[in-house]
Amino acid sequence: MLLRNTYNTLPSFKYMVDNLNIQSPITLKHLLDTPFCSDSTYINDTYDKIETLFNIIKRNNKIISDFGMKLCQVRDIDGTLANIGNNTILGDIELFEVKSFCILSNEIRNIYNSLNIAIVNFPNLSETVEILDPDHTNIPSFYVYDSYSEELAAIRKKIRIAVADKDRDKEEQLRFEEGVKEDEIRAVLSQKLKQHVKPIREAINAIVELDILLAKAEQAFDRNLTRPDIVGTDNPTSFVGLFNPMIACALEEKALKFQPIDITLYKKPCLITGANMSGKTVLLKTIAMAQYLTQYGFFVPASKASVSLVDAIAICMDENDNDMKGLSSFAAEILKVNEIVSQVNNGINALVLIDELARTTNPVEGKKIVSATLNFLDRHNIRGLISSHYSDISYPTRRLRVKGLTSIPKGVTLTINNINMYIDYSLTEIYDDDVPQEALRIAELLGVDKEFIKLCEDS
Amino acid sequence: MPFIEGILKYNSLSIVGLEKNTGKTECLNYTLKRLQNYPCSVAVTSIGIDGETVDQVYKTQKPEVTIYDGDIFVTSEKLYRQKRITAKIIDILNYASTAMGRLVVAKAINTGKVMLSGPPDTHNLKRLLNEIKNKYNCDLTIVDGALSRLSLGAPAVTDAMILATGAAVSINIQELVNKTKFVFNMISLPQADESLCEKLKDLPNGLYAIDTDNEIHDLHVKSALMLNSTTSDIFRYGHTIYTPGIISDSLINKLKTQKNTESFTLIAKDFTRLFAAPETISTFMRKGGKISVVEKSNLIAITINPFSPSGYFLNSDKMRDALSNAINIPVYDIKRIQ
Repeated sequence: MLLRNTYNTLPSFKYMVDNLNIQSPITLKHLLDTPFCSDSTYINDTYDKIETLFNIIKRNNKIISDFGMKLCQVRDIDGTLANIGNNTILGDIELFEVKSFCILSNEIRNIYNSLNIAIVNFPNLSETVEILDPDHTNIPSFYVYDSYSEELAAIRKKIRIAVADKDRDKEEQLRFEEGVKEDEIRAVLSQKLKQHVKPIREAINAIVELDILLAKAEQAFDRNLTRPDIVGTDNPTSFVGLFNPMIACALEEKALKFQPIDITLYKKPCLITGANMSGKTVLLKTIAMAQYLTQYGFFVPASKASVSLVDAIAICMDENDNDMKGLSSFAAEILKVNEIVSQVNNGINALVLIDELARTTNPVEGKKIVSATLNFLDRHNIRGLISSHYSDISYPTRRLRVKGLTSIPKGVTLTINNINMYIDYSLTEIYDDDVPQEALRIAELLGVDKEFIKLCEDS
Repeated sequence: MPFIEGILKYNSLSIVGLEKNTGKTECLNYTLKRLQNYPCSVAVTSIGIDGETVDQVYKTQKPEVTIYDGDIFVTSEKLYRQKRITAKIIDILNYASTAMGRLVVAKAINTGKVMLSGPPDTHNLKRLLNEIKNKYNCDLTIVDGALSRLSLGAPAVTDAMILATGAAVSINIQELVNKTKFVFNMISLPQADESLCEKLKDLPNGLYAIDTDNEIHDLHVKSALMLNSTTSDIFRYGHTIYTPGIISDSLINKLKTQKNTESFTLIAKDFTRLFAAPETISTFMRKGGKISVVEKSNLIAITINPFSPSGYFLNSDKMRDALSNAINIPVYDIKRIQ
């Protein structure tokens, strides 16, 4: 699964991808081709590279702008390279593009070499530049130089004379000859360049990889991200101080803080309960984001992280059924659950995250669905987190509860704007199957009509 | 050498025609040729789509532009391939693409002919002018005003301009003089108070009132074209009104129907924003209303072309004298002075 397929499924994750300070216009399409990776060797290799750059940035922030100034000038020459491969004779504009790309690539390579690190395979394109720079100026400009052919130089000399003499017919004739000669030379150059397509493509790959790695390292540095330990498939995934940069950023605008969360997920399902507004949904989204970030080779927003890689991330949340329009919310949800069931039956090691499972149907059957899902995931040793407001879920499983509302100091009136400050978002293990019944309390605190709340309580 | 010395003190010059076929390209060719005698590096470009060898409207021959050894020129990819000159590509601009491809910046290796094309709008033209000056170190950039429309606004971003007029505008000399004089009057509109201009020049589109203390008030009208949908009194802060956008008949009509028209001042961003009918503007000004601009264009000369595309040929001397008498600026028939 490529990044372009998952990019839009989770806003918190999309935010992190968009946040990358990609410099070169050619990098973006390659970035979206990043594979969802379940191979720990590959991810660790990527992380080693990011760490190397991270340490360089830490010592010297200027390196980002040094690279940035060059990277942002890189242009897409894919079309031209394809033309070379097809034996098309290149025009001056295309030859100029190739030459200026190669000169720029060598300049980027020089900066890279000055760092004395080995993270990409960066070929030297001097031989290619040589073909297009017979005068050895090393300046990004191009025309069919006089030095390519004495004959051409002679024709041009004659053109100058004809122009000075205002001999129009002669000039026309000479310009025709010049054109023919130039075309001959362009054909030779295009042919010669054929052998250089491979190193040029390697250079493009090096530039793209370097650009992405630099952006990831810069993001890790700016956003205080951590390199996760990649642990075995049966080991627990755990985060200390996990946070969600997108939501943290939105809170910051309101002068509020995101409370980081510690959580461990074993290779078993886990039921999570908590009052309304206690951040269960955000928790599920943040875990999904962290798992995606890891498997696409990003550092993660936590102070410490161990991540066990999975084959797929199955998220079932309200906003996720866009593609199921036309179905009732229950139908959409249960079909999604069915999809997860068949994935698991096919032996896919998935991370399953389901928000308020079966909330849209009657509690009697709803509870059965929750129990059955936990049972199914348990039997298949699937790592999962299912949030619910139902009490008396019969299946014996690990349970977590968000601590929820703390005691509210006297004289403080809760509003929709300050309620976050009085919620403790941390998790505790619980061993009974009670769920917090705080819906009416929160409604009251939020200033919902008193008579109406009374009516609720008496109902 | 007429008017060439006047050009040298500017960084950019636009040559605009009052109509198609008013001899703009001849004027450009004349200017480029004469500039060879001065030690100044020259670049040339255009605004908008241009460059057919044959005029697409009248099917008259459209001359190519002659570029000299060492000059820089900017044109589209398609027209670059049709050039009849040896030239070295020094840059390709990705930001200003036209229907005919990206823009190519090239330096002439010998003397020859090209057809010009340039950025499609003033914003990108401004960026290009800056780049030519700073990146390629050119002293002077000449912008071919392309499809002979003042409305494309090339004069708004260049330091100086030359106006081309001629029989294509009207074959009646008096009418030609009147039309040219009107445009000349618009170009000559006075600049508003300098400190006020400084404050006005970066305002976003909309409608603004300036009170007697030179304080600016946003009238919360999206543009002067939306004037009819506003119910509030736009004169509540004072009688001086500014809009960076287009000024059409409706705004000037509103001003000229007020009592004491003479107390009203209208400020435009530059003269190319005045789209109101000449009669409307003239009536407003005759009643004492004032119009000024934030960015004033420096008109260096007017050139005339006595040929009309419909086949008429006017007397060049008569035409020049009539214009010279009506307008206080040098008038030249380029074909004659060459």
